[in-house]
Amino acid sequence: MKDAVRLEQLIAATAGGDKLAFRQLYQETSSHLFALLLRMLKRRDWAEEALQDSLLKVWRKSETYDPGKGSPSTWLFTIARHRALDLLRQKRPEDSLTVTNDEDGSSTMMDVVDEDENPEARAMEGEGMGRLERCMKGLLDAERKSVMLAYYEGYTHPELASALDAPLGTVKSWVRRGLTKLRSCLEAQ
Amino acid sequence: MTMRYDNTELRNQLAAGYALGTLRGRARARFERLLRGDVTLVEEVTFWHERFSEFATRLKPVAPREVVWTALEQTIAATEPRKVVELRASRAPVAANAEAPLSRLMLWQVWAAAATIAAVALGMGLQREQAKTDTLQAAVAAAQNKPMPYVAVFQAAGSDARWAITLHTDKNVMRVVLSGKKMPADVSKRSLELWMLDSKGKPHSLGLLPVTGSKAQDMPLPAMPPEEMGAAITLAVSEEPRGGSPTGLPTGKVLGAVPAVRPI
Repeated sequence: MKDAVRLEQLIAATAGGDKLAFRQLYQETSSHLFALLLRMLKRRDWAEEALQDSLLKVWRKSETYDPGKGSPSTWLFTIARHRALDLLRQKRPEDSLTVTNDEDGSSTMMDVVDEDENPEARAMEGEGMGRLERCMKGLLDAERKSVMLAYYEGYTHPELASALDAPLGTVKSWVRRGLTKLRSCLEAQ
Repeated sequence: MTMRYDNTELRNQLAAGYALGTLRGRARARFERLLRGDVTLVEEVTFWHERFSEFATRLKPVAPREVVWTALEQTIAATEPRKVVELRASRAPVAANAEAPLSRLMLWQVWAAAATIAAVALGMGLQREQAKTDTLQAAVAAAQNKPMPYVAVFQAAGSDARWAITLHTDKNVMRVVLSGKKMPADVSKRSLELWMLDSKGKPHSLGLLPVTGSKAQDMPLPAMPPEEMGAAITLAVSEEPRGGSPTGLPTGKVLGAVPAVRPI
């Protein structure tokens, strides 16, 4: 995504009803948001629906964005991700869950980490970039997989248990321990 | 079940689970209620959102289809006139036609509405232009009681083929001039069908677009509903099986819509 200052300006102008600024905001962020939605929802039609809903929310709620409480890209990603989680809850009820073999954690990790693909996004993120990645390395394999599957697939604890073929209690503690380790590592950075 | 929220470690765990998305159902709703009045907890959630967004930035960007923006713009225009400052459609499509599948119709309506907005804008611009440069020709045509033809240029996204389309409704003739080579579909297997969308968003077939040749090609133009023949109409193109739609309504991918205008 573009730099934070530019996005903040566009969001502020959108809050003032500037449709052109909103169009610019859409042009500069939609492909990043869509990548996340497509990753989580898998189906293009669902991802498009979620993108439309998310941007509609951005349009309606742009005046509530407070730069003091987080970066604009985080605000946008969070809106998109919440919408995707809502949709998953509606469209992927837990009792109809099927997890195929190729959905294991390792292939997911391979898919999502585009080391060379997106240097621009890395450079733009600035200071915080890479912290999470570094800290993820300190997690046990199972903990790391659990966190990544929960983030990218929107898996619940029972879905994680099914995907990783482990008891629910074990998976819950993987997630909990993974997050605790991440917290202390991120704090120390 | 009651849960203790004054334990820092538990609070941090819940905030992390909330941001990650593993906190679900009633626990999630309860946590959201708690968030409203708890600044420290909000900060904790923000901390996680900020950190987790690094996962999102690692994905390679994927451009969504243009129809997402069009639909978004439509929804905003329809529901929130407060914020809309631009010119709005004067003839937005209304009720759906019960014969056609809903999703297809909705898509058509989006295209139709978008093209109508463009048509109104273009029509106004054209009128101003006409007033300056072409008054005489228009006056002569009007005097002879010959309606001016509708003119449109269609080009689909991602291809360089352009069709200049002139509809002579008085003679029931359509003249098409093709330029460019790269077609928006595999024309060895598919046909490109031209439609007129009426004010209700219902498509009427006008025939198949030529896919070869660079000279002007005249084709028969079906009679169109006279009440729909205002200053601007909407044309659309869809991809269909060879020979055209088997149903009389579009069945394939919509390649785009354009306004066709005529001087009044």
